Parts: sequence; structure tokens; C-alpha cells
Amino acid sequence: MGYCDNRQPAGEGAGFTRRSFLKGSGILAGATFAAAMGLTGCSDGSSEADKGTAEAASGSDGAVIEYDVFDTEFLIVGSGFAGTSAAFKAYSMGAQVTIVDKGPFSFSGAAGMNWDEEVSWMNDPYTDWKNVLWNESLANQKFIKAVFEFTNNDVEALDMRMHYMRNGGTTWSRNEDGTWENLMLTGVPGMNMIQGGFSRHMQDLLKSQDIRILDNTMVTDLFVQDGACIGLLGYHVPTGRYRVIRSKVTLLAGGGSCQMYGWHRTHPRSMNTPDNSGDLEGAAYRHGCSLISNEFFGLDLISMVPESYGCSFNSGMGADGNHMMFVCDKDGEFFMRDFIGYDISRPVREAIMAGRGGDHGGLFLNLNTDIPVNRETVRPIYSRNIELWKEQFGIDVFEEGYMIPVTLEAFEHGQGPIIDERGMTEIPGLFSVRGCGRQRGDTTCYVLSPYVASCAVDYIKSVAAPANVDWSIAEAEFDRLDAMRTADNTGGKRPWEIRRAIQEAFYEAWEPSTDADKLNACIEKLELIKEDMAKVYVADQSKAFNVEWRTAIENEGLMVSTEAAVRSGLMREESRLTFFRSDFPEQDDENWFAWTAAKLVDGKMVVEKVEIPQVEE
Amino acid sequence: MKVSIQKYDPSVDNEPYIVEYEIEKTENMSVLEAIIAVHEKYEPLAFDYSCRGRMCGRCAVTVDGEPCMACTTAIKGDCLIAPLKGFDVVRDLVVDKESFHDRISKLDLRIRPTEITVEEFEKPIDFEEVYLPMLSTEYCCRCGCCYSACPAVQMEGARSRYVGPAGMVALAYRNLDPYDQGDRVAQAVQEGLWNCIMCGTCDRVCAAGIDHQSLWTSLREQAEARGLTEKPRNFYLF
Repeated sequence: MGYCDNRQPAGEGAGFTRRSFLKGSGILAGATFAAAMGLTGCSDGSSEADKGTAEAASGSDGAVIEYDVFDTEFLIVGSGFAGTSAAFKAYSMGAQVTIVDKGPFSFSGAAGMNWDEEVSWMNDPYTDWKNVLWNESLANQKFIKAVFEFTNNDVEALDMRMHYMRNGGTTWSRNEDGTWENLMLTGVPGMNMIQGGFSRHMQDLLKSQDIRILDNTMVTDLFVQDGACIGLLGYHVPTGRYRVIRSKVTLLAGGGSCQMYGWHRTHPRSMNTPDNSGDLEGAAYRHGCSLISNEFFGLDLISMVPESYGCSFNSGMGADGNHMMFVCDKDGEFFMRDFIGYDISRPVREAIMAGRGGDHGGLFLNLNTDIPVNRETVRPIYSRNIELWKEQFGIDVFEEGYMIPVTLEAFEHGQGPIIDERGMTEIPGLFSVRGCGRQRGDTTCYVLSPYVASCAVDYIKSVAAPANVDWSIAEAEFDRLDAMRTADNTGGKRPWEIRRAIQEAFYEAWEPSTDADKLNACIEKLELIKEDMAKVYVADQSKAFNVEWRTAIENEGLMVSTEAAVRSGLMREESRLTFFRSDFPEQDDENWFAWTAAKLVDGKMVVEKVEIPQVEE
Repeated sequence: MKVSIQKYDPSVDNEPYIVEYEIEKTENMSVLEAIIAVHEKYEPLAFDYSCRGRMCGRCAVTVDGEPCMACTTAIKGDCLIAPLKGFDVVRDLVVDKESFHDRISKLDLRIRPTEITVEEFEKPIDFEEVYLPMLSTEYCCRCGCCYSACPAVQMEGARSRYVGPAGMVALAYRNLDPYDQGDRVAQAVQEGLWNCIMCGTCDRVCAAGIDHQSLWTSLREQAEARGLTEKPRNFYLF
């Protein structure tokens, strides 16, 4: 048994029609393009609605590289909570919208998990823009205020329950008398919370609108010409067909990547999906964007068993910030029962560092107490797994003395390219939902995202098409991707080995606490891994759903995302929120009430301190 | 442990073939972990997964012919892992569920001519009769296991117009939905409510634990009361 039973000479892929075009024909095709792409629909690329104009170029090795060209006004990457609400907003403002999603639409990312979402709503309007739910201390205050003004402080419009109800509907959790549940656990006076949201219906509604969805499409690069973003480059994962998607404006809404957070048999210590591998952050960075909030993750406690699916929100047992009564140390002491707060990482880490954790490097949940396991004490999303564990693996959480090993898992990464108060990145034409300096994404992206979308629609009016689209930019990218797939690097490391090395290097340096020595050691390891990446062995040359190739491409974004976290963490000589340095355990507002921004300068990552935009009173 | 995997790259291979691999069985090993072990130790496989918790449906495969979610199914011993039946194979274990998903999405669209008000939403709904069955159907992740295994959908040598269990679940959901005003009973009959033979296969393979037969029984009672008891005519013209 050896690797790769389907290696073929480069450019000889069976089953693909290769139409040769003269170089430069792209300009002509681009002009006829609007007619070809008047059709819209949801498709995997197999239907008529999905077909772009076919283009071709000669790769460096002489092989013909063919690609499809699509054109749209408003291009959104990601169809999760942020992407869908941006799409609804832009569409309702009259824009022609195209959504690109790496996975199958409505089955990718966090929103593609058909789960139990929690949302908040208020009793009264906000008294001050600074108190809005989407504000955070390190956020761009000008942006936060602009979003507030955009919402008109309209209580009903800000009611997330109604947002779901009116856009497809969901049940929301109900009490036994049939009234809707109010957890009142937000810790904010006048703020309520409910569970039981399922965003699937919203995605179904979106699909039925006149919005083009290019799913199973991985973005590998931005299409940047003369300093402006004029679309995206990537490929259709099932067929390996390259795609150029031109746009007047592009919005990044792909979610954060936590794929560097260790590895545990089938996944990192993160509920985050494998699709979120830092592709967009990597692409933005390569084109000169500064990445911020790199050192901040959102962290929860989640089970490490059964090992095959531990760290998964959907099949594990966890303790969210509001369900801490079962958390205990190795001696069974329930030391977190009085804890109230969103960020649980600090007390958890302190307990682990004090030797109160288990061999698995984390704490425990003990459900064998006098407190009943019900909707009040354990989220239904977890308690429904008790039966699953027993049925599949014979694990009985109610067995006398059994304690569930749990560990910190990263459910979010704050990272994003710096945006201005309109949501535009440092590249004209490229907007992002992330990058205002918040440390995490959450359901408030239903507020941020429509705001950014509305600014981006306004921006369309000022955009002029490039005089001459430089197709060689796209062709160079496709040539690069093709070379990665076809290079004869036998003996080199396979993409998954490189992935694992990044994950292990990061996790070792980051948990349960970090310090300068660990971070420096991690940077050295990452530099060595980069050498392996340069000669990665893609042991599969087929263009059809090539996991090997995709992993290799993803590793590039993941490396940027990881290196930015580590280098930013090294620069930030304090502890703040979920970021914890044992050599600087205190928060230092005097010196570190600031962003750390990672930027590409002369081929190297440079991190600098950046002042956070404030509102002048 | 010997794990056999059905492989097929339509851009290279004439037809699917089976390869046997020897992997080490670890404690609490899932089918997904076995697939990953083969991919890493032996040769690249085309497989898909995302949530690792029976919530996205992307890892659904068959193990010795039985559809299941690879992520939350324990691997017991030697077995054959193959793609879900009843779908076109993209490659190896990955199938194309596009049209399957599109059909369900259309059935799930709420029909209602007026906007829901906050007051309307805040009125209580029946907990036992409405909320609980609705909640159970919410967990349908459209993985395709039921559709793949359903004998009423996948008849020998033919397919019926029956949308299959997952599509019918979407209709049952809207039939329960207090804010939906469409005629879901008529729609369910059109989509093959009476094609189901009540064999319980969908209940058995459903990772979400949905009680399909109770939902069908409720829909059938409503249909019967209106005299709507026909199966849809099949597609054939001759």
C-alpha cells in the first residue's frame, strides 16, 4: 500500500474539458459577461445558473489552466450569522449579491451546525451608545458608535428573537406553560437571553431569494489590482475548477479560525469547524492588511470524552459561563459555583496552574450531585448527549464517582484585518465584519454585519471598473495552486503532518498559560515548519475533492493566523481577557490599552502597537 | 482492525472499488477517527466533516450498509465504510446532496401573508402538542441518512415521488409552526405522505432521534379527515 494511486502527469487530468483560449481573451469575455451571468441561483456548479465564462491560460509548465469568471456587485465570503445578515441587508438595498461559501451552503461553519443558539434582547432602548452589547473595551469606538446610530436604538429591530422569527422562524425555548423562556442570565440589567435558536430556516429563506450562492468554493486569494480589491480568486472544491469572482465590493464574513488550538484525535481543542482555517486572514495579510486581536480567543470548558468527539460543542458536555455549578477540580471541589461572567478562562487556568487539574490538562464536570440536570443547570445542547455517550461508548456520566474531563476550548478567535469606521479594510473595496478590535464574534454580528453591508453598498456608487482587468494576476494565483498540487515533492511532509505541527507548537506555547520563553520557542518551531511547507508533499493529484491539496493551501492561512497570534502575544506584555501571560499576569492599561497589529513588511511579519480610535466627547 | 473503504474518483476511475486497510483500534474510536487514520497513515481519501457532533450532517456515510453519522458512531470492529447510497458520488466518501437539500429548503419556507408581531410571538404555545414535537424536528440536520435508507424512496430499480423522511420532517415542522399559514397537509400528501410504509427505518438511522412515525401519524390523521389519502402519481408518461 503506498500513497497516491491516481498521480498523473501535470495538466492531464481525466474527465475535464480543456478549452484553449488565446491569452488576453479575458477582456472580451469579461465584456460579454453580464449577459452570461444574468442568471442566479443556488447551485454546486453543475447547473446552468452557476456557470461563469470559461477562461484559460498557460501555466508556467505549459499546461493549460482553465478558470470560470463570475461577476457581481456585492460579494460576500461566508454564509454564517454575519454573512447571511449582510446578504439580506445588501439585497434589500438593491444590490446584486453573490455569496461564496467554502462548504455546502447552510452546512458549513458555526451557522451550519444545526444547534441551539442563544440570543439576547433588551427591555428598553440603550441609554448610552457605550453600553451596547457589541461594545468591548478594545473595540474601535468610532465604529461601535456608528453601528449604534445605524440601529436607531430601535428595541424591536435589535430584538434577535424577532430577527429569527421574521426571517424564517425558529421555535425558541419555551416554558411548560408555553411562554418563551427568559434566562435573565446576561448579567446586564434589562437584558434578557433565550436559547433554542436554529438558523437553518433563515438560510432556507435566503436561498429562495434572488441571491447567487457559489458554495463549495474555497477562496485562496483576493483579486487585487492597482491597490484595490476587485474580487476574489479560488476554486470549486468538488471539481477543482478555478474561479474568478469579480465584484464592485467584497465583504469578508468567514468567521475566525481556531484551527491552531491543539489536536485531539479528530480535531483541535475547539468547536470551530475545519473550514475556518484562516484563509481570508492569510489572503488579506499577504496584500498588506494589518491583522489585529490576534492574541484573543473566546474560551469555554468542554469535554475531552469520548475522545473521538471531545471538544465538540454538539456532542460533548460543556460548561458555558452560566452553567458552572458542576465544574470541579481533581479532588471534586466545586470551586466555580459563585462565578458569574462571560470569560471563564482565568479561574480555570489558575486552578490548573495550581495543580488542581487532571492529567488531561484540564478540569472536570461532576454531574453526580444533589442538583438535578435540567434546562436550568445544563444547556439542552449538552444534556441531550448523555444518552448518546452511553449508547455509543457505554460512558455513563451518572456512574458513582465518574467525573467528565473537560478542558478549555477555543470557540472563537478575535483576529481580523483592521477596518475603519465604515468597516472597510486598508484595501479599497474590501470590507470585513471583523477587525474593529472586538475579541470575539457572537450573535451581535447580526447588528454589525448589516451596518458594514450598508456602508459597502454605499461604496459601490463610487467604484469605477478597472480600465483593463489584469487577468495575469488571477492566472499567476492559479498557476501557484496548480504547482502546489502537481509538484513532485516525494519525501516531503504531507499537509496533515504540517497542520499537526502548527497545532502542537501553538497549543504547547499557549495553554494553560504563556510567557516569553514559550512564545519564542514557538516562533522558532513555526519558522522550521515554514521550511517544510515550502516542500509540502501533496500525495494526491486529482482535482476532484482533493482533501490533501485543500489542506496544503489552508496551511498557508493557518500559518499566518497562528504566527500573528504568537507574535502579537509576545509583544503584549500584560494579561487581559482570555490572553494570559504568566510572566505578566496583570492587566496594564497604561501601556497596553492598544491593539497589536501584525503586518507583512519586506517578506516578514512585523507587529506594532496601534492606538485604538476613540470618540471625542 | 481491518477497515475497508469504498473509493472512487470519477475523474480517474471507471468504477468504485474497495480497499482494505489495517488500522489500530483506539479506545472510544469513532468511524470518523478511523477514516482520518486511513487518510493519514495510508493514502489520501476524499471525506468531509465539520461539526463532529451530528449537527451538520456532512460526515454521513454507510458502515456495512447502514447509514450513520461518522462523527458520533462508534466503530465496533472490521467493517466496510462506503458513501451514502442514493446520492451521486463526488469522490470516495463524499456525495452530492445539492438537489436533496434544495428540495427540503423549499418545503421549509414559511408561508404567511402578514408580518409576525411581537405580541403574537409572546402568546404562549402548547408545550406538549406543539413545542416539544417542533423542537425535536429542529434537530434534523438533513444529513441524508434517512433518505438513503428509506425503502419507500429507494425502491428496487425506481424512485418514487416521495420526498423522503427529511423533507417530510420540514413539512411536519411547518404544520406544527403556530406562525405558518400554509396548507401543509395538502403539501405533505403531494410530497408522498402516504408513500411511507411505516417501517421505522428512518427512526432507526436518525442521529437526531426524531420520532418520524408519530409526526406522520399526526399528518395522516389530518389528511384523512379531509379525505386526502392518495399517493402522488408517479412521473412516467406511459
